[in-house]
Amino acid sequence: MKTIRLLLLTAIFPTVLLSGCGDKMELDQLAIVVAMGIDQVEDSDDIEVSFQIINPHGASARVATEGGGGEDASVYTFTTRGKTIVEALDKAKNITPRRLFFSHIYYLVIGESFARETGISRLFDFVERDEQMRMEFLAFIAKEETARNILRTFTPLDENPAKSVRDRVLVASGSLGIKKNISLSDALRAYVSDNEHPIILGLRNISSEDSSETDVLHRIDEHSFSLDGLAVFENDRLKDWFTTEESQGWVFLNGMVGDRTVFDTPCEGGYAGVRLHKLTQSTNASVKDGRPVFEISLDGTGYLLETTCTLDLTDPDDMEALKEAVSNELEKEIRSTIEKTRTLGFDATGLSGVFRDHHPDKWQEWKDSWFGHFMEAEFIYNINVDINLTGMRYNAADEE
Amino acid sequence: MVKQTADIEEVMKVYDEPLSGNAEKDVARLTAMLGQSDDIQVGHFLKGRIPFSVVHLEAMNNEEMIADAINSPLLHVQNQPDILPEFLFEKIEGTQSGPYYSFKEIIRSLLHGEVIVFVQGCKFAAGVIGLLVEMRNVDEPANQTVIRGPKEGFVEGINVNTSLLRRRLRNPQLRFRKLSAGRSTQTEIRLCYLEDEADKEVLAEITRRIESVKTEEVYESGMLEELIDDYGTKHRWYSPFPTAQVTERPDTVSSEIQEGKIAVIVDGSPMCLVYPMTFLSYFHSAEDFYQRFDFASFIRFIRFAAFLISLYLPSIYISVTTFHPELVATDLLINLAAQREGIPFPAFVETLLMELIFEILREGGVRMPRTIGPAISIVGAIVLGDSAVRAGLVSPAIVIVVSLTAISSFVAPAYNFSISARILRFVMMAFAATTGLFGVMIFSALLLIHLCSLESMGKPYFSPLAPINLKHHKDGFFRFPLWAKNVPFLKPWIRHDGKKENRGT
Amino acid sequence: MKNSINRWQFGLLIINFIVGSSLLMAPTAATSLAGEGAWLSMLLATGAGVTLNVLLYILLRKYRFASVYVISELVTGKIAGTLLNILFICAVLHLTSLIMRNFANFTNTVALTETSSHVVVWMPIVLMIFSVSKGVQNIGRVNEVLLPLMLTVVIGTLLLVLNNFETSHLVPLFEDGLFPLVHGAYPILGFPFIEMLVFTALATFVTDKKHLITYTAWSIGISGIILALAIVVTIGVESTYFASRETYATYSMARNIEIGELFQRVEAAIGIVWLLSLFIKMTVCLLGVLLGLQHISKKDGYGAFIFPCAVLVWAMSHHLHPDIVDFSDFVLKNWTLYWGAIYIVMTGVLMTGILLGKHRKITHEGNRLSG
Repeated sequence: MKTIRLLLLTAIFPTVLLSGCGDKMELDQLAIVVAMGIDQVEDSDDIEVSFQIINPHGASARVATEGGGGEDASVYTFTTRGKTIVEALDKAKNITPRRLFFSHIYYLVIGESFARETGISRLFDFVERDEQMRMEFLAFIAKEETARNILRTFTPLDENPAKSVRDRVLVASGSLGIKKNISLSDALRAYVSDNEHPIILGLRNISSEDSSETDVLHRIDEHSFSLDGLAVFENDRLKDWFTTEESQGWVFLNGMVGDRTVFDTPCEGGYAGVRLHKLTQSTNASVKDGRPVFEISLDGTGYLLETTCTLDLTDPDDMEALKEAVSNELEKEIRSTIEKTRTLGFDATGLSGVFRDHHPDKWQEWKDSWFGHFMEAEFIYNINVDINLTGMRYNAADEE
Repeated sequence: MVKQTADIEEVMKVYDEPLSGNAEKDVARLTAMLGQSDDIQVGHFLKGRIPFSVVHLEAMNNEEMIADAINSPLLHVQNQPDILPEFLFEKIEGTQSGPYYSFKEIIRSLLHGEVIVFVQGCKFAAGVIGLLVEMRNVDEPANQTVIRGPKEGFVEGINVNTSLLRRRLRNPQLRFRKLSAGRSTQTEIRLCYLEDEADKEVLAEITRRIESVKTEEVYESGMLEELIDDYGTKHRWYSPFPTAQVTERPDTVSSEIQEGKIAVIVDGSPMCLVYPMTFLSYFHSAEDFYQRFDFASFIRFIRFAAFLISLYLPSIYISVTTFHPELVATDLLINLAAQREGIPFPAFVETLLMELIFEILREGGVRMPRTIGPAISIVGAIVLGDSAVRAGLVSPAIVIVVSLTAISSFVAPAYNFSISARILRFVMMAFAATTGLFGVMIFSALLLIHLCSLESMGKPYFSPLAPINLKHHKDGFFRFPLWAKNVPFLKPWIRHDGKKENRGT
Repeated sequence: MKNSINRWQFGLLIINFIVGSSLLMAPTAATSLAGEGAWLSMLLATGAGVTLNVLLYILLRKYRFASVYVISELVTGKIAGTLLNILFICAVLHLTSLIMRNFANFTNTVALTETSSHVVVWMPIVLMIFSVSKGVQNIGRVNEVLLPLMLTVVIGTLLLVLNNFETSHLVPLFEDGLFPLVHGAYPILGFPFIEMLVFTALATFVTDKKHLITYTAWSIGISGIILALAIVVTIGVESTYFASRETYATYSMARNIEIGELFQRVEAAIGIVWLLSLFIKMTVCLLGVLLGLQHISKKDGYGAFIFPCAVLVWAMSHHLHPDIVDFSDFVLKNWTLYWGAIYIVMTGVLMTGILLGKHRKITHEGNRLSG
C-alpha cells in the first residue's frame, strides 16, 4: 500500500508542477509594446490600432555579442484594425512573430479625428480590464495628425522614442509647468464623474517627411514631435484645443502647476522672462447672491532670467513694477482660459469640482444647469509674485 | 570504565570468561582470543618468585613508561619475602584501572590502550592507563578560520580535546560523561556540559539516543549525528536542515557549553557536535564576539542576506524573466531581452546548466592538491563563464547571477548548513520554472512550515523567531555589546534559579 | 501532534485572519455601498465586531474557554449537540472552500492566467495538509514569523503610494446621510468579523488564558484600523469611481507605486502577502473543522480526517459557484446573515448553558481537547 501511494505521489507531483508551464513566456518570445496609437478608419466602424514595439538589439545599452547595434532601429511600429481593440490585437498575432506584452507601455496616443468623432470612451474598457496594463501611463491627442504618423517618427537623443515623450512630460514638464503628468486614469475619472470633463495633452508632429527611416538619425535638423497645448473634451469627444496661453491658465486653475517660466511679460521697452520655481495655488468657492464666486490665489517665488526692458533693476520700485507685470501676465492667462470656456458651452476648467467640494449641497441643486451658473460666476484674483534674485547681473547691458 | 551500549555488550559477550590465575595460561588464552595477532606485545617475567606478565598493544603505549612504572617496581618487589600476589598491584607506579575478572573487560581495556598486568595466583588482572599514540598537533582549524581569535582547533584524540575544553572552562561544574557506540569500532564518546546550566531533559535525551544506537562503525561525528538525529521517526523522516552544530574550535564549544548546551566529542574526529541548536546559530561565528559589536551585527546581517541570496537569486531570475517581466524596470528588461536573443536554451535550462557546472567546479576545487587548486578554480570560473557567453550558450546575466549565488553560499560560517542551501536552491529553481513567483512563494512557505515544526533534541529549532523571545534576539540578528544588561551569554533554556525562561510553545 | 499556542500567537493569528482576507476585497464592497465614507463604515464594522466578539468570549470564559464542540454537547445533550457541531463544521468547511476560491481567482486573474485553477488550488492545499498534520502549534509559529513581515509590507505599500494621494478624492463625505455608511458596514461585518467564530474552537489551546479577552479585543481593533487605513489610501489614490468597480482594489492601488525610475511595479509584494495571509486563514479554518471531527469521532488525533477534508475543500471551491460574479454576489448578499445566524445560535447555546448551570461541569479534565 505504501509503495502504491508513493508511486502515485511521484506520478502526480510533476504533473501538477508542469501544468504551470502554461503561463511561461520566454523573454525572446515577447514583444514589449512601448506605445500604442488609436485611429479612426474612414467610413467604417473599425478602429485602427498601431503599436510600437522595442527591438532589443537596437535599444539596449550594451549589445552582448560582437558587432551589433548601430544601424538597427530601436523600435518598430505595426498597424492593425478591427471593430474592437481586442480584435485588432488579435490580428497583430499574424504580423508579429512574438506575443505582445503591455506592462511596459509608456503612452497612448489618440488621433484627433478619432477623438472628435468616435469618442474616447471606446478605449476605456479594454485598458481597464486587461491585467497587464496599468492605468498610469500617459495619454496624448495627436494634433491635426493621425496616431499612426506620430508612432512612425524617430526622435533624437533618445533611442527609445516612447521614453523620450514620457521624459518630456516628466522631466522637462514642458512649458506648461505641469507637476505631474496627465494619465489616462485621470481622463477616465473625469469622464466618469459628473462634474468634470477630460483634458488630455496634445502632441504635434514637427518632423519632416521622411522621419520614419533610421538614417534620419544622422540628420541634424528637426525630426521630432512636441507637446502642444491641451485638448478639451466634452464627455468623450474632443471639442476644441486650448492655446498655449489658455492651457497655462488651465494648469493654474487645477492646481497642477509645479514650476514655470513666465516668458513674455511685457514691460517697458521689451519683454522679461522670469522663472518661478515655487508656486502654490488654491481656489476657493463661495456663493453670493445666488452666483458662485471663485477666489483664485497664487503665490510664487522666482528669479529673473532675461529682460530686454528699460527698467532700472537697482530700483526697488521698478522691481515692484516688474512683479506687478508678472502677476498681471498670470492673471491674463487665467482669464483667457475662463473666456475660452465660456465660448465652449460647457465647463472645461475643472472649477466645478472645486465648487462641489466646498458646497456639496448647493452643487446638488445646481448640477444640471451648472454652465448657466458658471457664466454668471464672479472671479476674484489674488496673485502675488515675488522675484528674489536677478541672476548674475543687476541691470541689463543696454541700460546705458 | 566506559559505559557500554547494549549491542556492544552483545559483541563482547563472547569473550566473557573468568581468569584462571595462572599468568602464563591467561596470557596464552588472551592471545588466542585475539587470534594471535602480531601486534600484541607480551612481556613475560616468569622467573621470579611471583611471576607476572605484561601485555600491551604495539605502539599504543610509552615503552619507557612500561619499563619504569610497571616492570621495574614489580621486579624489585620480587625479592621481598612476605608479599602476596594481590599486593603486587599496589606497587605499580601508575594509574590503575580494574580489577578485571573476566576476559571481556581485559580485552576491552587492552583495545582502549591500557597495559594489562597478569599476576600468578590472582584471579584478576589490572590495567595501567598510559595511552600515548602519535597524533596531529593542535593546529589552526582547517575549516573555521577567524581573523582575530585563538587559532587552536580540536584534534583526533579525545583526551587532548577534553584538555582543550578544560583549559577554557575552569569551572568546577564542568562534567564529562563517557559513552561508546559502534559494535566494531567501540568509539568513545564524551558528553560535556555544565551541571548547573544544562537542561536535564536534553541531557537525558541525548544519552538515551546514543545508547540506543545500533551500528557497526562510527568513525566521525557526522555518522553519529545522523544516527541520533531527530529524523528516523515516523513524523520527521527527512529534513534538509542540520539540527546539530558542528565545530572544530574549542572556544566556540566552550561558549556554547556556557549557554547551557551539551557538547558531544567523538574519538577520532576533530569535529565536535553541540546540541540543541537553533536556526540562527548558523549565522554566528566565534569571531562575532571578538570583534566590535557594531561590526559584528552588520556582518551577521550580511550573512543572512547572503544566505537568502544563495537560496533565492536563481529562482527569482528565472521566474522574473519567464513569468513576470512586468516586475523589471523597462531599461533592464530591454537589456536582458537583448542578451537573450539567439540563446538556444530557455532560462531554466540555462540556469540549471550553469549551476551544475559551478557545483562541479566547486567540488573539484575541494579535492584538488593545494598547489594548483586556486589557479584552476579561478581559471575555471572566469574562462568557463566567459567562453560560455561568447559561444552563445548562456547570456551574460546568468553568469552574474550564478557567480553571485556561489559567492554568497560561501559566506555562511557553517559548512553543513550551506549544503542544505545548495540542495534547496535546485528544488526552488524547479518550482520557479514551472509556476513562477507563485511557486517560489509556495516552496518558501513549505520550508517555513517545516522549520517551525523542526526540533533539535526536543527544543524548537526556529526559536528565537518562533516562538518569539525578544531577549534572545540580543544574540540573534544583532550582537548587543557585552556591557549591555543581561548579556554576555544568554541562557536559552534554563536560568540559574531553575525557572525556565523560554515560556513559548 | 502538538496543540498548544500562547496568547501572543493567538492575537497575531486573529490579526492575520482579519486583515488578510479583507485587505483586497473590503474596499470594493464598502466603496460600492458607502462611497467616500467607506472607511467610516469599516470603523463602524470594527466596533460592532469587537463588541460581538468580546461578548462571545466573556460567555466562553465562564466555561473556562473549553472548546465550542465540548460545550454544545454539554449543554444540549448528545444528539442535539452532535447535530449542532456538524452544522458548525459544515459552515467552517464552506468558509474554507470559499477562501480557496478567492485565492484561486486572484492568482488566475493577476499572476498566472493560463494555469488551470486545479494546480493553483492544490499547491496551497498541500501546504495546509503539511501544516495541519503537525498541530495547532505549527501554524501559530509560522504566523508569528510571517505576520510582522506581512504587516511591514502592507504598511510600507500604503506609505509608498502616498505620493499619488489626493485628499480631494475623499471629500464629499456625508453626501447622502448616514444610511450608506451603515449599509457599507453590513457586508464587512459578516466577512471577516463574524468569521472569528472559528477561533472559539481554538481558544482552548491557549496555554495562558489570563487576559485573553483583552488580547482578542486589541487584535480585532488593530486589524480594523489597518483595514480602515487601507481603504482611506485606496480611495485617496484611486477615487471611488475606480475603487468600487475594481475586482481587487488594493492591488490596483499598489500598482501606482512609482518612486523614481527603478521602484515601480512592486505590487507583487502585496499580492504575495495577501496569498500567504489567505493560506494562514485557510489553515486556521481547516483546523477548526478537523478539531470538530476529532471531537465527534472521539479519536485521539485528527490525522485520519486531513486528506478527505482537503479533497472536500478542493471540490467545493471548484463547484459551488460557476463564476466569479455568482461568487461575489453570494458573499455580498448572504454572508452576514448566514454567519450572523450561527453567531446567534452559538451565543444562545452558551447563555442557556450558563443559565442552566452547566458551565460548572467544565473542569480541567472535562476540557478533553486541550493538549
